[in-house]
Amino acid sequence: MLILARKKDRRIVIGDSIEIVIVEVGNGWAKIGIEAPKNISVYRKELVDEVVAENIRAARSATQRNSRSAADAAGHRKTTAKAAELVLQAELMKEKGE
Amino acid sequence: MRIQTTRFGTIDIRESSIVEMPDGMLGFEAYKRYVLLEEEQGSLFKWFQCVDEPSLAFILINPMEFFPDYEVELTDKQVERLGLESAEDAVTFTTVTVDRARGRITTNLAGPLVINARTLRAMQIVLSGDRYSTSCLIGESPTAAKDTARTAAAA
Repeated sequence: MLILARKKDRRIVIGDSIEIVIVEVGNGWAKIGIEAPKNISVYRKELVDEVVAENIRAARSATQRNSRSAADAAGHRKTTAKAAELVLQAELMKEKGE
Repeated sequence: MRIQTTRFGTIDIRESSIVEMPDGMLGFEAYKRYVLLEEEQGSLFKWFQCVDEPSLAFILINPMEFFPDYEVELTDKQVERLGLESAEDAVTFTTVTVDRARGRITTNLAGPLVINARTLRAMQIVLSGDRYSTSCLIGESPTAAKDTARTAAAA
């Protein structure tokens, strides 16, 4: 990893379209400005990590239900046959208020 | 085509209804093909079943049903990647987490799923800023999907 020491208001250029500026420095934190083209996603890493963690919880909670009792599973099998593909167009129409 | 699912057993789906996620869901990048299912017509809760892994599925809702002011802003890159020609083609869903121990049902408004309804290409978007949380409460203490829908409808 490249590590650079920068003073306040100094900049770092990445490639030909991204600039990072140190806006303010405090005790144990730094305020950073990022100038990047609109097509570059800039995320706080912990936010991405949070979404990953929530996806894992969501997937686990979605499968949990069928790992319950055999009776439950039988009940679910009944609804299984009815599981129909959702036609997205219907959802689309609803959003358009048609 | 026939696919295996843990929850629904073997089901028949049309290949044309497969939702393609070039980047997968975050944390599940290897899985790129899903199909949207519903157990009961018109249910608020949909299933996003992975085509290639029987045990992988997500429960989805249309967040607008619960949070009418909810907004997703896409970057140019995301619009391009989704092949969106019109904003009207974008359908937004959010994942649902059922926490049985705490009796809470939440949805992830910070990481919505946007589907191009015309091409069935989809992406999970991460919304920057502190506006939306990954676990927004939508219902309490149900034990099955049907109760979930009822609680949600009553809320």
